[in-house]
Amino acid sequence: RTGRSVEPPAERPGERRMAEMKKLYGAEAAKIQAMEAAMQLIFDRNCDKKQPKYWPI
Amino acid sequence: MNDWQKKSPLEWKTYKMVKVAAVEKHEYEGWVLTVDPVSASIVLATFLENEKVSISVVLGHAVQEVEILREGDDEMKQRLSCIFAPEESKAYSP
Amino acid sequence: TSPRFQALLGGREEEVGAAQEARAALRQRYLRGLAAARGRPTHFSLRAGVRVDAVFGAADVEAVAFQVDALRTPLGVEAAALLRCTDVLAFSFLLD
Repeated sequence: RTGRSVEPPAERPGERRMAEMKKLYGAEAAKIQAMEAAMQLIFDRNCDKKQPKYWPI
Repeated sequence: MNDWQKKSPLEWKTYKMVKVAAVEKHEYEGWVLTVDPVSASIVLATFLENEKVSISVVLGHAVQEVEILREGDDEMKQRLSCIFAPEESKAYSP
Repeated sequence: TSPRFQALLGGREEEVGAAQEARAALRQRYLRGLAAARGRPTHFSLRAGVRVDAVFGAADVEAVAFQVDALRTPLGVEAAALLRCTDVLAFSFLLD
């Protein structure tokens, strides 16, 4: 798979994940989630734009 | 699960020079900038003669052993903490 | 929650807060490190002794793949490609 965008949306998006993030990172959870979202956005955008194939196949 | 993965994240708060043994007999040496708590990937920095910094990322799944060679002194701590510093703190350093 | 998450969560009760803080710092530095790699010539060591050069493009959050540009394969240059994280043992790049 090339990114999240091709997957069906998870049930209750974000909620379970945020609970896990809070457990891992405490007060910094929201900040880290924002950084991760920004990183994923770049990845997804690159994949949409460049249509890269897996190498090796 | 390897022993080194059981280390508390607190242990990496101080900067350490390590030797990482990876699968297929790969070896990497450098100062640990971070160990990703999600993927267990290790990010190492080595200083080159031309003042450049080489960054190596050894993926968590490939790491077999981590040997701590020595602890960084204050000067090394200073140099290492500037690498990947958040933008806001970079603005204040020359 | 993966076993690795659980293991990394370890520690005594009173250490949980300090461990969260340390973990957050480590994760942030990792994410900033990946951001710093973007656009840089990067050398990848893959399984079975395969070594390739490319320009680092992006990584996904779940650590499935690295998107790279100008991947130099033995058969030519791929303008854009994905390397599976499970294939990659290590990668390195220079900061100036």
